Amino acid sequence: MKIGIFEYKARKGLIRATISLYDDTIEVKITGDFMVFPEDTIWELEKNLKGMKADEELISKRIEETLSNATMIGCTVDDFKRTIIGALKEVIP
Amino acid sequence: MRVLMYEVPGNPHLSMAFEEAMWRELQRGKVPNTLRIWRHRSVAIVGYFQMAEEELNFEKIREHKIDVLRRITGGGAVYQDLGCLVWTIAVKGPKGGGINYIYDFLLKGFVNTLKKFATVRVENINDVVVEHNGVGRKVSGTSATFRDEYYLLHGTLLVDTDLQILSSVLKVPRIKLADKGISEVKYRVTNLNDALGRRVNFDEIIDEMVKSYSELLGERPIYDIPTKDELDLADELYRIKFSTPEWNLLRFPSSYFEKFRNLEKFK
Repeated sequence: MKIGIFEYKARKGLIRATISLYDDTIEVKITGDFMVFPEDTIWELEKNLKGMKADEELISKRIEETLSNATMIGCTVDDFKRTIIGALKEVIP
Repeated sequence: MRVLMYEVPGNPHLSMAFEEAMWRELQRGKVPNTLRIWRHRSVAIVGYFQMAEEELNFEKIREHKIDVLRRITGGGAVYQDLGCLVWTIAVKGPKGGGINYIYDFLLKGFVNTLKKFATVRVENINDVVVEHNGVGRKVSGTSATFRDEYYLLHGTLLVDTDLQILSSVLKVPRIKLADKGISEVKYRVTNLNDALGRRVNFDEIIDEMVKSYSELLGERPIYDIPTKDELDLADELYRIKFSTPEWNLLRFPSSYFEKFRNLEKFK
């Protein structure tokens, strides 16, 4: 198992993605002081990413789909993509 | 507007459970719009998306015997002691008001309160900043949530808090320091007392806050005590959620705790 951590400072709020890579599937934890509504979208995102192959494009697409209806303050869907992909790049060769 | 001075300073977990109970009862139509004013003895509170161990310096937490607690709203970690006033405004508002209703309207009640004492401005959506020797200093942190036409905004007001403990307990992420230096207002906190150069009485602030929110909402303030259902629900939420490591330390989502059966009667 490999662990990758990436932090990104959005306009408002820090987003931290922690990725665990097991063989070839991932699990992601997204923590920080950002603001997203409804809040549980974040756990939905973690659930939707769990078990995915470490494929940047597929993961980006899944992030976009899951966050498309969320309201955010001071951060964007791209910020979450950038953070999660940043952590992914730490664990893939 | 109901005004609740209900607090449990020595048990922040129960007090936070009460806040959720009040929020749930509001959404069930069981209690009216409410301004709650409260305090804690000594507690570090992390945001809903935060992992306590990432944000708090546990060595200091142990040294000072500080409670660790997680809240239902996003945003960053705060430290509170009896020198910090905590306030919550929970209301039924317009449909579809969203986050604008909270930060463009509800926050005004708090900003207008502070304006009675100091020169105040709001930076970066929700940083409430007080002018101190020409420099903006943060005296308050706020956070919010909403569901349908129900809105909750809560915040702190540092009046006479031990800032040394505060800064030793809260970790500042390296990336933030690297990014903006400590000039970022978030890390330039101060006490209202220090900003004003005089000791402000808590009662003075509370009176102004009640007046301010009562004017904003156009509702007469009615000082009240919690309902029995609120207190029962708070006990239940304390038992199944706010007193557990799963909630406070492990960042489990609120939905995880819904499966516990005794919450059913409060749906």
